[in-house]
Amino acid sequence: MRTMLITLLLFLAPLSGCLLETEDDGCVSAQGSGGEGPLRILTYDIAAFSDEMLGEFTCNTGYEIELIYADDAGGILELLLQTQQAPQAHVAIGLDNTYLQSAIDFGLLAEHDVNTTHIDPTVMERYSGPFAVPFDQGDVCLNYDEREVDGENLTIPTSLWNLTEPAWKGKTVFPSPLTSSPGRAFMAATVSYFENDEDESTDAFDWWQAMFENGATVTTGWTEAYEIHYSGGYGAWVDGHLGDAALTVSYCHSPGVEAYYSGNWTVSTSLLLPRASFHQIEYGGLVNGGGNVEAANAFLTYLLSEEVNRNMPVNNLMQSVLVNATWPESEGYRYHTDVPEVKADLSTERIGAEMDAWLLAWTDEKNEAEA
Amino acid sequence: MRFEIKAGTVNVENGAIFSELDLAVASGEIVTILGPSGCGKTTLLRACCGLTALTSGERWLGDEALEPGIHPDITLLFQQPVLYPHLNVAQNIALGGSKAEGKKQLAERVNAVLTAIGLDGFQQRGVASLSGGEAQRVAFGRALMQDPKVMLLDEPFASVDVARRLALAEMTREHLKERNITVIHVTHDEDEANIMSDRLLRWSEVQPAPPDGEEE
Amino acid sequence: MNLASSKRTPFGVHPIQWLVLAFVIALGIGPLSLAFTRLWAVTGITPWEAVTQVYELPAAKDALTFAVLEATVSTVFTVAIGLPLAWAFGRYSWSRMRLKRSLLFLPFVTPPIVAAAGFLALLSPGGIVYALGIDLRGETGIIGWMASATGWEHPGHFIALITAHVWFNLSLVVRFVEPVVAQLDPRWEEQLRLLPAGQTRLGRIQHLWIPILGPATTVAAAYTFFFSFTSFAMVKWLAPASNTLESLLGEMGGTAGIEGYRVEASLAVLGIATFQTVMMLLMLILAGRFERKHSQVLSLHHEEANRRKHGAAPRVWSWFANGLLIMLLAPLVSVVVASFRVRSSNGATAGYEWTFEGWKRAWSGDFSTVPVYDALANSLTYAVITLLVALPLGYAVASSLVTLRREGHRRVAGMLDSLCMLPLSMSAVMVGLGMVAGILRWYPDLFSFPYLPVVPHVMLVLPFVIRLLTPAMERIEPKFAEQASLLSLGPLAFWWHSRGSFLVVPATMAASLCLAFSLGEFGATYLVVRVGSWDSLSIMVDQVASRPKFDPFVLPTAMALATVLMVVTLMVLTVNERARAWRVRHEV
Repeated sequence: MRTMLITLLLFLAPLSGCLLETEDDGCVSAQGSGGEGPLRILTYDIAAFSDEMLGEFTCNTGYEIELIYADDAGGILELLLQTQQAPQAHVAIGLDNTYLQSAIDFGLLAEHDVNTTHIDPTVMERYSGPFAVPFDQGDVCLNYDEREVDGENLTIPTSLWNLTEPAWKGKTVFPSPLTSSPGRAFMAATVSYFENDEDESTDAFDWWQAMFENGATVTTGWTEAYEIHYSGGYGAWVDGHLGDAALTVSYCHSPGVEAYYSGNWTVSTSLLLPRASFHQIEYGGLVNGGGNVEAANAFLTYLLSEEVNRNMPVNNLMQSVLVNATWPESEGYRYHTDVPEVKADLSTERIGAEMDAWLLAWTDEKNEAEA
Repeated sequence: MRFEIKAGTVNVENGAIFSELDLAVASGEIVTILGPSGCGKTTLLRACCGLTALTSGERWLGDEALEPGIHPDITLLFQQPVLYPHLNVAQNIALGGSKAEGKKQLAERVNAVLTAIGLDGFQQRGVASLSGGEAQRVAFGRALMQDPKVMLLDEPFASVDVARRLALAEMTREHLKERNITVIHVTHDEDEANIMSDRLLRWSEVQPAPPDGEEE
Repeated sequence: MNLASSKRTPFGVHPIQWLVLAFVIALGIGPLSLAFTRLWAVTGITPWEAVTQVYELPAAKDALTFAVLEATVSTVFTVAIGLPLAWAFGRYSWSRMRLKRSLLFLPFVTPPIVAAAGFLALLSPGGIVYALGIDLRGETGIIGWMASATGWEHPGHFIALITAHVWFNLSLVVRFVEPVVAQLDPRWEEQLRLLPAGQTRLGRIQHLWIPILGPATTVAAAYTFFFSFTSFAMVKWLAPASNTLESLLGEMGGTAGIEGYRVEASLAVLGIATFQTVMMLLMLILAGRFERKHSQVLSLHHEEANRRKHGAAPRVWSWFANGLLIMLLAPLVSVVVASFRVRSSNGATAGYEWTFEGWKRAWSGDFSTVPVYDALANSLTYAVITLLVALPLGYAVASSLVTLRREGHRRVAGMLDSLCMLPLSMSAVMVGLGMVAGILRWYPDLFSFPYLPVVPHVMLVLPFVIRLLTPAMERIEPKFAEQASLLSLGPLAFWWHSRGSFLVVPATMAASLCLAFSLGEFGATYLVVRVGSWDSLSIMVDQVASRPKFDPFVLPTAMALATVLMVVTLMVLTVNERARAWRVRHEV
């Protein structure tokens, strides 16, 4: 008994040192949002939401924040669908352009009241309707490990079909398009890639079939693919790392991020093949029926503000959507970031209309390969 | 107080344990019924105190015909003493006291009973550590605390070793007589029966017709 | 108090108790039935058709084969190691027994993500197992040789998974078998030694130990198989190339039951869930039959006298048991160590530094995660509410079952008992599925009920409470009630002396089990809406641990949270052991 009490006391002792100091912080006092309560943001683990950023929002506006987590952009859509009769969140952040149309078609989002005039028009071209605002963007593309793909062990692919050759057997990993938004984005890109290549007898799903037969690994999410399987990233230092894949799906600026965190050093680089990359835009929108509209609009506005959105590369590891967005120079971020010249050519409407069929076809190929 | 059972019958699935049994015990009298194991003695006692329902017949206490069920003035001492393991000796005995009693009064009575049954100083003892004889004395002490008019004793000394059995029987009779408690006592031990009883009956006298059923 | 006439209703059970029985059974089967109905409606095909369709999917077949294989191997090894351990624990007297038993049980209630992190730390470069030259993770060295020599694809991952399952389930074998050994009347063994058949050790094993321990071992093996079969997080982390039916369900569960969205996922979930439910039910019925046979009692003898008689364990047994305990602790210790350690990578090289930063972040929390004491408060709140709901319900059910059996309605009691045990046949993911696709889909307003996680917790914990209280109630001899009826006691005092006092210890054990399970529960709670401020500690551990780890402080923070969770759980389990020891000492 005594031992238990002592252990408990030792445990609680540090608490005394952690009593928060109250400061005179010059912030707006908590809004009489009254019955609405704190602003509930449904998102996945976007790093952009740092303490400072959220704290500043609360300080400036007085709106308190509460976060609800889903696993991924797909998880956000699912949660919105599950709770459609009784929405739990007020604003949803993180649906990308492979999920957005579904969200709109299901009536999950409400019209916002946010100024979007300062957003890059090319970004707004993708979607400029009233149900969502873009807040960051990036190009999804394949990354490979330069130590493995060095021209001796493996040569740099000049076509996606190279990845179906025996040398690449079991050395690729892809997050599943069913559960991962980068995975879904890349799969969409392959549709465009194979529609535009010289060979008219094959399509994306023939390629996927060949990839599965060539031992491509599929994971549920990007994190598992990148950290556990990909040999060229920071995953090498993570417990449980396997490093059995020399190539994975990530962002064209991921090597830049690697360099930024490792003192301008990385072995990862992007594979830039025409239309093998997908321009992903992430959106925020008001949840239909969620309420707390004023706070939600305020938050979206804040996300799009100059001081927050310009810092997306550092805070959120994605690019800003404002005009003249650039990558940071420091620690080789910009140097190691690759910029694809020709990206996949798919409209948001087409994605919305055909994504289900693509997912079914992808799943069929996977099932057949396992048979 | 006088206790009587009239035309008592207890039936079970395969016959009767006893039927049309008549037994009358005068006030303050100790009646011992002697019979072999399994003849129905325990069932008779259980029927007398209301733990087992009579299929037919009546129980009378004094001039009052009793309703079926337990009566506060009739108590039973089980063959194996039933002491509560979560209570010590004093607490077990105190359970026999009435709800109306004050704590101090109850404690005094408990101590008095302990002294009377020769277990002075046993107040705090745990019941698991008691010998068979000691345990039965505690159960007896608790029964005395209830101040019953009728006490039913079911082979009360079966779990006591032979050497102490007869001494305990004598002590028990002394206390019962002192308090003028009406007693029905059953046993298969002749020596015990001779010590305890004012009136000795054999089971065959009490229940002339052989029963069909087995004792439960 | 009138005992002579107890029949107030047919079967002798009070109407309120019937209501409680109905509620408990409904709570068990309701959500899953609602989920099946929902999936049926969304897919337009019956569960049976779904099973046949899904069976044709190679992924499902592979998952089933793998699940059966790993569950069988796990069970064999668990019993092979657990049986001698249980025997040694039961036979000899050990120092610090309570602590040892609590430690033994700790793996069972450790959230899978914590266990997985601990194992990964041990298996990766820098871990003890790797340092011994066994690379189960990267499968180089001797493991790699094994792979190429046998053509076995991932032997290292398989071995790691089996080891984790043995680690997890060892306490089951001990829990079931040890009491039988400890409480066996020594005269049985003595008698056998006097007979020709008992002259050799083999003879005694054959004629005494196998018949005596057989039923208990079989029950433990059945439950071990069950838990290994429905393994999810361990498979996901330790054997990433493989799937069990459970992990397939877990991946798709969140998508299921939504009208017009990913119907093929609903179909797959319907088929897999139906199949798994039926399989689990069969296993449960078999296990239940064995358990009833097992609980038909041997002559119970005083445990302490037995232990005193055999004395302290001989050295070999001592090394075996203590060594095993140390190995059991290893993954958990590595979690604690990992909370103080952060990797510092600088370009091509990386090393480790010692730091309190993980703990600081855990204490203070951030906008994504509440401070650890808030999460702990949430966890404890859920745990206490679970306890306050499950204990009375479990008592009422146990009481009804005991009454039914005493009144001679054994078949009815048996049937109702099995129905109440149904949640045991449901894996955590299925319980969560029942919540999400079942209750919440039909009654979405429940999403805003802050104590929603309590519902699946109560569901999962009730069978254990009933299992603990029922035999304890049955053991209470009717003579105590009869004696009490002869005394002038009020209703509450009557209940206390004739029943309540005898249930203090099993109720304490049930209570601490409720708390421990609720604290560590993860699977079912995970599928319910995770509003940050309601997060339980186990959910938060998973959340933080799942973050991308380019921030090196992610892991130490997660491990600090996990350490807090483990310590609190251990304290709760120690209470459980104290109660058990009290019972043994006082022969209650």
